[in-house]
Amino acid sequence: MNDIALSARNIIKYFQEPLTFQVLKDISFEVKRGEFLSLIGKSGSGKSTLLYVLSTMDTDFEGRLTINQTDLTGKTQNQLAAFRNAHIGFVFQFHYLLPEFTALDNIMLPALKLGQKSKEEIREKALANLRLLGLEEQAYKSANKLSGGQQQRVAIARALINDPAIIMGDEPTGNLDSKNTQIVFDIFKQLAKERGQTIIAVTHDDEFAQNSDRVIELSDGKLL
Amino acid sequence: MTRGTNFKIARAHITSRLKQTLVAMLSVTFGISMYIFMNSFMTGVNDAQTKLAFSTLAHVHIYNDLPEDNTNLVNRYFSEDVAANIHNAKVIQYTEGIKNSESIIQALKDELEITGITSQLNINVFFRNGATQVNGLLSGVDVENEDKLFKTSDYMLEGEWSDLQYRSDGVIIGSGLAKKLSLRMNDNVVIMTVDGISRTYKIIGIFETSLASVDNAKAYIRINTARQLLSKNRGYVTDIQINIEDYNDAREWAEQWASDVSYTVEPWPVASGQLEAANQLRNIIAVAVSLTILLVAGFGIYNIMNMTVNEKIKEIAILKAMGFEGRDVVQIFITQSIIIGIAGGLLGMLLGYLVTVGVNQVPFHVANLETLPVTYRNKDYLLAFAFGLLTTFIAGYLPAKNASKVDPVEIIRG
Repeated sequence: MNDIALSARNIIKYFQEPLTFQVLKDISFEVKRGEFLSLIGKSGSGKSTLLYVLSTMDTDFEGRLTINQTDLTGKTQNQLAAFRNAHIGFVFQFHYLLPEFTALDNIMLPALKLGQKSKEEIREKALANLRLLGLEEQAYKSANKLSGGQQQRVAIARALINDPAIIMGDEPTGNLDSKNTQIVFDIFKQLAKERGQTIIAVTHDDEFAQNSDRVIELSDGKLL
Repeated sequence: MTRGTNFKIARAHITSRLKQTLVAMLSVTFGISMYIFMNSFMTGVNDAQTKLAFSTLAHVHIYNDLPEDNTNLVNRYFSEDVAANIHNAKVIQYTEGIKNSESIIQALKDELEITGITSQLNINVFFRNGATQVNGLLSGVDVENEDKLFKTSDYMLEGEWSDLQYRSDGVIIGSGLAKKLSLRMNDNVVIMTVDGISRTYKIIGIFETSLASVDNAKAYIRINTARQLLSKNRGYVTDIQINIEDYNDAREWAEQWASDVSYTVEPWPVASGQLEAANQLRNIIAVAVSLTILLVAGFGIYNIMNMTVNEKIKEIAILKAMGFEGRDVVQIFITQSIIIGIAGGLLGMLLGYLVTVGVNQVPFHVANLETLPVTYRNKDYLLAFAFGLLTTFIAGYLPAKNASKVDPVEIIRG
């Protein structure tokens, strides 16, 4: 029981606009701790929608979602925000860094919000993350001065700052060339293996998916 | 720690869009400086107007009013259903003027709030020079105290006000009156009372207040000379004029003294209602105009903050995805508008002061004014700053509230 990082039970979701349409049809699965999971499926299959439900950002669904033994159904937006801050890291297709901030400042943001460590500790941790991703040289450059691959790696470093149990990626390599895709993939693999962090990534990239621990495919809102 | 982080983000937003920030700040600056200028100017006008009015009007006026309505004395002792038939009612005798002025003045002198007190003996007379005859007001005055209250010596065209003290045959007349009667300094003028007594005085001074009604009809003599003219005792006066520290308190003081004094005690707002009305109307206009300007400035900030929110909507979404709460987002944007408000406000106070100083230099030669009048009051500056902050706070809060409700999923998924 204890090595279950995330469990989804009977997830059902409808889109109301423009017509009522069932996107997710009774989806249930579990993800183990330290597992590197890929979510694949055609456009419109509901894989991204599922990811946002799992991420706790989308609360408009039926069913039961448990992360780290915490039942997240029926919590308020602010409670969920605090939960995400501490337990979930995000990597999106686009990096969404604050352009005026340095790479280091961007990485420190979620930890400063969490407020469990001193600023000095956070800075140390952020620098360590940058080293892990091979970006120590770029620490004091502002985010908009970095290349696309670097920005995405900074975004990953940011996702890792609070040592989240789960890292979620919405096409984390979607905008990257094959070399950078490989780098990001290796980082994910390493995190899952060495730190026991769970990775859930939506991807279009078959090679990326095949190399992960487990692949879940969605089709018309159902698991295959 | 969150507060520090939010502040840092707010600062990044402000500094990354310096031009918009500057425009927002200037709209606050403009609003606040106009508020200060409008209020300083209106208060200045009010003060100038009041000062002019108080050159002939005391804060409190004590006099003996005509006897009350005596047309039906029966009513006082019988109920109203008693029929009374009285024709040609006449007053047999009543006391004119104030007989015991010295004791009243003595009693009032102990009041701390009184800054000046003077007694007058005002008589309606005819001024004659040869065939010309003009009726007007002869004012027997306590030379020293009259000047203290009304600054009469400031209005002297020719001669010295203080000379009146030593000249029992001297008279100081208004410039208009002198012209009408073709009189110049050291000429003689005949003054005739209603009772038919006439006496000749020498003109030892001519004054001009710029109030035509005074300049064309008034003359001053010593109060003792006036008593002689009327064959009245020492101590007889018709009016006691009093100035107090703050003329705005006149009404309350008049009410308090009314019970101690057996004569009519009249504060200036009763004597000159239009003066008070004009003051208050000007204040209302000033407040209305300046609040409108602040409101417009508020819309300016609102607009710019809305733009910022739209521009930064993706950042807001990502912050929320990372765990920033709605109130953090509100804090980030409120911080920006408050910084804009404080910076714009401080600059606005400075600009408002400079504009006010500038306006005070503009020549304006009407009545006894030389430049446009302004009054500097700390209150105006503090209020302007407070209103400015309030406006920016509200104008920042509304877009911030919207931003805090952003659904990160919608924005990030596009």
